[in-house]
Amino acid sequence: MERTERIMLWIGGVVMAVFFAAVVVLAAGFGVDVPGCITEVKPFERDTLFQRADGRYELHVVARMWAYQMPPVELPVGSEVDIYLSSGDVLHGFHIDRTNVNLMAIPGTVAYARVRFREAGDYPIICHEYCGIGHQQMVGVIRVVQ
Amino acid sequence: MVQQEPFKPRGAIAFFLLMLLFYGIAWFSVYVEVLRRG
Repeated sequence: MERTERIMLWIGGVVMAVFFAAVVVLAAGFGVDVPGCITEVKPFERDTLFQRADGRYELHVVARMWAYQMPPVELPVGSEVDIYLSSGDVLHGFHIDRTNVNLMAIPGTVAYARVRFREAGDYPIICHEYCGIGHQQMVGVIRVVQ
Repeated sequence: MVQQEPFKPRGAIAFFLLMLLFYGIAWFSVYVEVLRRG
């Protein structure tokens, strides 16, 4: 192998190692995780919002054509929310704007994500999976207040 | 007889390094956005 080839191979390897280390730092150091899909529980059919502890909430959302069945959500800044999402009919999307929450509502399963709302304001929720003629009306909102 | 200097693929090396730089910028811009959204 030529010397130049070896150097380029090393540079490529180091770059890949840096990328991999950055992903590990993101997951271990900052708690950024991929969304989960829970298949061993029976999907819920009722929407609820529980307060688990001070600043900790659990939100159950049922997606149906063409709205999110969820209670009015108004949370204080800094709240950490465990979101459980199910679908009552077909495949839906669930993306909370300005956050990393990006879930699929799959009939028969429960999708899960954890999010912390660090800033006050309205966080729009949109369905980003085409789900029928009223897809574009399928929106929701989470309000975060001081 | 003409003496030739050893061949060095300068164009390929430059392309490779620029490609890594581009990948790094694209990758870390998404990375920073994920971090920012926390």
